[in-house]
Amino acid sequence: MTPALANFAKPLPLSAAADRAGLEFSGLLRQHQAMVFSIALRFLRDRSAAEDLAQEVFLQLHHTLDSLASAEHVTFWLRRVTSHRCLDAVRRKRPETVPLEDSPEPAAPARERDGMLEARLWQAIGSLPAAPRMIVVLHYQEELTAEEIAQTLTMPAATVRSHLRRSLLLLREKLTRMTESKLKQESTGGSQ
Amino acid sequence: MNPELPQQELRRNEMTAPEIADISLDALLRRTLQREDAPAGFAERVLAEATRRQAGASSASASARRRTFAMPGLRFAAAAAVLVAASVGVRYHAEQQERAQGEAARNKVMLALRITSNKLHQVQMHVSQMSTDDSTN
Repeated sequence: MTPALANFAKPLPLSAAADRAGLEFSGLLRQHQAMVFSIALRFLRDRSAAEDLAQEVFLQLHHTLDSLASAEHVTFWLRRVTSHRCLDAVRRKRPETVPLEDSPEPAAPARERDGMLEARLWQAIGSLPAAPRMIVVLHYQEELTAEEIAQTLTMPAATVRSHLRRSLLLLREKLTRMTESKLKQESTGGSQ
Repeated sequence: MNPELPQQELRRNEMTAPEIADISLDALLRRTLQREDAPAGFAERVLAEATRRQAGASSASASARRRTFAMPGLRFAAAAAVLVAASVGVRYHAEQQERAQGEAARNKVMLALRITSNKLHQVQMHVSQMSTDDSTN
């Protein structure tokens, strides 16, 4: 534990209800920080914006914790609030669909294990419209079912399934196009 | 060295790009969208900010209370309201007492009237008894 974290060893005061449920803010923060930050990062593709958003989500949790009855409720609440804040952030910022060609490279530095294909996929995910992009993130990162995503995003499960199907088709198509153009480039380069 | 690797590479090179994309998309999505750790010091920053906001909120509400009672007009209005409430209370209490006393006095008069009426009735009975006796004699 870092010295700064040791200063917070004493839990912040919470309501009696949260205390009864064994929900202690700093513990929940450490347990869920990767989940909240990753949803925001995968969706926004901007490390600093993702960190700001994740911080606001946890501060809201600190304010709301007394109304949450169990650990499962906290997890659901965190996913829900993070998703909605992400969607709101994108709505406020710019038109939601970005043509793939104009789509910027991820601002977050690519992890070392990221190959070319993963980087391209990351870019292709970023070009999806907001709602389908969030559905893809929740399905593949959080491994949520269509029904769970529907509850999180407050939309019909059929809509979630249809978004997911279309997003996968779109991603496959984009990835194929990218791979083919890359192979063509390589073969042109190799023949010269 | 793994003897499988050159074979895999060979098979991969024989496959068309769509086939590669088809097979690996699901796995690739899972790998690309794995959770990533929050930046170093994230938890400390959030806890510090939560503590700061909590302290700010409590001092803000205390200073709001102080500000409210620091306003002379509001202080005068509060004092006037207390005085009005007290005088209304005293007046109400006095009225209640007066009403109770009046009620008690009325009950006493009614009792006295009933007693008198009974007495008169008895006297009347007595007189009529005497006159009946006189006429029979």
